[in-house]
Amino acid sequence: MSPFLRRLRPDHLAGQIAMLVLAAIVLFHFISTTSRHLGLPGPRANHIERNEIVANAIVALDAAATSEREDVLATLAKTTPWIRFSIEDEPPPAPEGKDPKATEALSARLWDDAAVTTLDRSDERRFGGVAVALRKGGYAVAVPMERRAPEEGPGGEPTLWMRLLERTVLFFLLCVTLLTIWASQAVVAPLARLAEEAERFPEEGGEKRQIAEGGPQEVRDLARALNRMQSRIEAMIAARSQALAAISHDLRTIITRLRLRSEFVSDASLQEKMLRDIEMMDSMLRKNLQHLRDGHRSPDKRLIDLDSVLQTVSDQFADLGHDVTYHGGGRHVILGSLTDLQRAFANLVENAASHAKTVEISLDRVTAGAVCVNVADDGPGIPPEARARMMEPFERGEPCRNMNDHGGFGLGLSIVRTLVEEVGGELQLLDREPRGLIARVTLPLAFAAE
Amino acid sequence: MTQTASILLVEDDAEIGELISRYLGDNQIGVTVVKSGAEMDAALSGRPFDLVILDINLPGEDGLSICRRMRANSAQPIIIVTARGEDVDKIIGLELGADDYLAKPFNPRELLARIRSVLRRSSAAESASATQRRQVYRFAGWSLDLASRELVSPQGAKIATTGAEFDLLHALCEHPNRVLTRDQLISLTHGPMAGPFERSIDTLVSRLRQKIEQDAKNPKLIQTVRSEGYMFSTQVMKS
Repeated sequence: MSPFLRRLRPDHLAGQIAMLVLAAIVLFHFISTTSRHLGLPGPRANHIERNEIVANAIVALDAAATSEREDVLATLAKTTPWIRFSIEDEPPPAPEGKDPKATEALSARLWDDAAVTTLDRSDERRFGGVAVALRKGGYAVAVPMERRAPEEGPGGEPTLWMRLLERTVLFFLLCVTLLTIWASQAVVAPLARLAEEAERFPEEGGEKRQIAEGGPQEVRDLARALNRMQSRIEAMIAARSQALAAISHDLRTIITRLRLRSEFVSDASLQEKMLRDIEMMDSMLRKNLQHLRDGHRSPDKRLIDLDSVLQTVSDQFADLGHDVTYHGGGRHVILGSLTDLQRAFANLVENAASHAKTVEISLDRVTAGAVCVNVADDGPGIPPEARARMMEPFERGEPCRNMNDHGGFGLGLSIVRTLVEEVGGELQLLDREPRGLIARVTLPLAFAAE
Repeated sequence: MTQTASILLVEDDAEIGELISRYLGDNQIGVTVVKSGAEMDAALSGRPFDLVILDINLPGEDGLSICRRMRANSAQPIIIVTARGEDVDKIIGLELGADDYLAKPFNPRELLARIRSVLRRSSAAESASATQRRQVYRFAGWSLDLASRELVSPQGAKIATTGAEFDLLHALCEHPNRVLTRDQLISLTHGPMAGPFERSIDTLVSRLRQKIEQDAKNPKLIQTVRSEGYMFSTQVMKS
């Protein structure tokens, strides 16, 4: 089959459009045919009906006695107001170049050898007035009334242009209606579904989900291509995670050697520096791995006592010699993962402690169903325009900062944001007066306030 | 120097094996290093060891499978060491019956503290079988799960604790309604090897009270016995 013909198969878009137009044509013909057969007011019916009326009136005038003609005329003026009937003694002058066919329809309905004369340039379609010689003498003249032109009256007959326009509009409406229904059902709906499913990738829960393949061939091809792309991306992520796990394992083995070896260094200040470097390396490695792991795993959510988390993080940093205090208390229970929450707040406090002297953690209930945790420091803060950027991965405060002071790949805040968003919370960076930064984490409580 | 304990270290990295055995040797612990599960079986059939330190990533049979196999027929104390610092490994390692878990890179002092703690526990419960080691203590609605190292409040919420706080609470649960002196608590939790940043028992107790007492200023569970020490005055159930 040639590519062109293949494209016209009914499961392809082009084929479906062709079928659609065909269906519209068939439907159109069906409608126009049935409307004529059912005797709906069609153009032909009007024409016949008028000839009949005129014929009947003339037959009545013919049958009536000469004395009764005036009564019949009066009755006719009432029943057929759009035609004026009259009785003349002399035949009215016939126009030149008349069409003999114009009278055929009428004379067929009258008595045999009835003499019908047209008064105007009547033809088959247009009625301009007739004169008929009556058998009892005189001529019956039927003239259409000026005011009630045949086109306007109930017996009126649409012109060719009107009828063409009417048919075109009908055909156009049919096409548009069918196209709209088809487009929304067969093209737009599968595409919208496709977009929606592609948007969800990669799955939050980490589970693999194939996009359903439906709709016309082209949309199915697209879905299949997206599915293949999805599996390629998944394979890439898996390969990368595997490589990273291997690298991190090897690096940790080396760091472990260094850590153990440093234990035998006799120079205390040298040993201290080595330990600090080792600690930094380990923390950077850990954060990088956290960052790469986050997003494609489903944390096991449990009820967590938030106060104990903040207390523990604060204590751990205080034990390391930082000035970190926690002002809080009470029992605020949220739904999340204990290690993730500890990690999130440890990252925030670590960040604050590396830029500032004192760090204060506080917990406030903002609404009945949410608490906010403020990690406030008295450091240099972050300029407002840089804040959104700082929450992106691999962003550090100053681009060329010496790794020795605060170390890190710039993952701290992005990890926190990911972890906080995972439990339905939000991370904001705010100004602190007179100086410093407040990292505010708003978290939903597991139970609304009692 | 007399050796206080003998340890079998299963570690495929030669240098780490050597450094650990040197460090532990300096602390009177004899270490035999083997490189795989098969070598470990051979060493264990030769003589008994007080403790096995098991690396998870090993050539051939991995550490978790060795741990499961050993637990099936012995109560040999095991500490798992791994460079795969994933939380899931921790749970699996402990559920398979390992007594403790340490992530690489570790502080050798911490390794020493864990070794001592495990040895003390295993000698205290010489006949304890592996299943009994995986126990949960319950007191006043709280539960302390030793396997997953979780503390859960009466409301069902997980409470964050530091390792030292957890060990202290564990020690208190093992000796309820008895006065424990500070020295006893130190030896029950960390051993004498308190690091430079380890907090005093008083600080640990006050932090623990913050977390488990209804009113930390008026403690009901961990009571201070003036000039003696502390008493965990509650009913503790083992399950």
